[in-house]
Amino acid sequence: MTFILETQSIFHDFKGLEVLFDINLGIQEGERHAVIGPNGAGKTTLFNLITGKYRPTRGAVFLDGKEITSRPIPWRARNGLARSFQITNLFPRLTVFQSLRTAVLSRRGIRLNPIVNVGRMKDVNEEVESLLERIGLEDQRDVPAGMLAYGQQRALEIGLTLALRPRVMLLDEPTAGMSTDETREVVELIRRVTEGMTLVIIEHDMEVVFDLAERITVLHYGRILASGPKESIREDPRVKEAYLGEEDFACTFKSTD
Amino acid sequence: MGKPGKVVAIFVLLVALVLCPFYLDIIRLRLMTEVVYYSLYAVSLNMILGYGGLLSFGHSAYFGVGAYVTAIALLRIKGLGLLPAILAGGLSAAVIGSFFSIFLIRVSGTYFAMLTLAFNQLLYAVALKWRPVTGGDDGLGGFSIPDLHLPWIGKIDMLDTSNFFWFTLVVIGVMLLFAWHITRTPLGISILLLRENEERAQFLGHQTSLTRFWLLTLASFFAGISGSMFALFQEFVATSAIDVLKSIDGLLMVIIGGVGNFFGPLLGSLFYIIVGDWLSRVTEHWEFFIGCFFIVLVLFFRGGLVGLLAGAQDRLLKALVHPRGEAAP
Repeated sequence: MTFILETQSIFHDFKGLEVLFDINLGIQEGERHAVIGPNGAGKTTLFNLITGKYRPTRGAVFLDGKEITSRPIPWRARNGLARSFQITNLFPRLTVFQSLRTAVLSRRGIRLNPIVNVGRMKDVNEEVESLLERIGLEDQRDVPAGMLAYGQQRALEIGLTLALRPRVMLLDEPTAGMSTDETREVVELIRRVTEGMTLVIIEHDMEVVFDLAERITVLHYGRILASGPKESIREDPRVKEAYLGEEDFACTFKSTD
Repeated sequence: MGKPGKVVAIFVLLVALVLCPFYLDIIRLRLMTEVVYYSLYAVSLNMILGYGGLLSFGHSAYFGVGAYVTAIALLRIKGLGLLPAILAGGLSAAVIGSFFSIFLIRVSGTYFAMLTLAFNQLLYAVALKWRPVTGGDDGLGGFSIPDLHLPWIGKIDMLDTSNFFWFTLVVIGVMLLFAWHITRTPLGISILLLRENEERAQFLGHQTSLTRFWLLTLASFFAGISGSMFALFQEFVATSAIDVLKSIDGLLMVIIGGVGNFFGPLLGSLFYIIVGDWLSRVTEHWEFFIGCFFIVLVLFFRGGLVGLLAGAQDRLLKALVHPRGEAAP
């Protein structure tokens, strides 16, 4: 079986504090995969290892069969790994339009051109307009990212990753800190814009997980507790054992039936 | 003020600037020449500080290299033309700037500021100690400004104050247009990302160290051209062209004028040179007063003079639209 994204027995520790043990994760093209687990399970660290913010202590990361373990962040972004952030991470003083344009320019490899006026790049600007429409921020196009409402900032986060037309899109808790209504909107947005794409999503909200993903990996204290199709995860005794104490979790499992 | 209003305002200012030699006496005209070439120095520092979000304490390194190289080239190379002498200054500064940036792309924040200061001091020491070439603390003089040869027009005498003013205006004007243009290109936008959120830019595929390299190289080129004009204007270069005080001058111009606004440093250099000159006639403690003004500005008017003007303009517009005493319907 070939994977578009794969980690092979990744171990990671922060100065002796071990956070990930023997993580083997394979994502197939077109797969929609959720990584769940309680706070501190190592989910975001796993994203940071995949996208290049950290290097694993041991183990390797593969993109499309090629090892990328020690490639720098920009290289990975250019070669198809795009991520969003749990804590909003934008360009506060750039407008929505400018922010998206910088992502589009980067994907097209126009990053250091000192000659052409960006206002005259018709293709680029048209692409940005269509992105604005897809993420529903047309009315906010000239608002600085730092002044957007929280939900709109989350939409822009998704828009930035979308602009890179990634081969694998990694979303780190896109609904963090949102109300139920806002969550529903963002989930709808993600479903709409990521159709047909390979998606890896970290999420706490089980409703969102079962809504968006087909396969689930459960991280527990830095280890993979279980990984597989969502139905089997739901029935997995180890997952039940780890989670059943938590009433809420059990309830959300049922509510999606 | 709408777009047509702005165009008219800029046009009027430009005409007033070009006509300076007709209504200013020689001393004031020389002062205006300084304002013009220092404005490029301040703009180039603003590219680093205001657009790139990096605090440089060593910008005079490049100003100084430009000044020294132009002076040395004119002294050593017989028959060197005016424009090649200026270009040599700018390019040498760019080469030095790109070399230093190999180290400067690796550090941020305080470390960046300290490293720029160290490089500045390093070049200052070279200028002071390498007597046979730089003249040490005696400085370099005795070079003459070549005439400018233009097709169709012929020879223009650069020793004439008015001619030199116009020449400075054209050279610096072209450079400022180039700098302004860059802010609207993909490179200019990539530079903004350094200030806004460098790590996020990397996750979008921007190799931000490369962006920094070009930012620092371009800014040192512009600073070098400015220094080159300084050397020609003063007909003399000493270590004061490359010392840390000159770097501080640049920072003051940028911050007084308005950080991160393209026009801020232009106003800043105008204010700093003109008011500085006026104060220095009134009192020998003129730097004290500039310092006080600076503190007030930083504490209460972060936007600098540009911010103050924009605020005043808003109030003026409001007063015009809703004149006082207008009866409510």
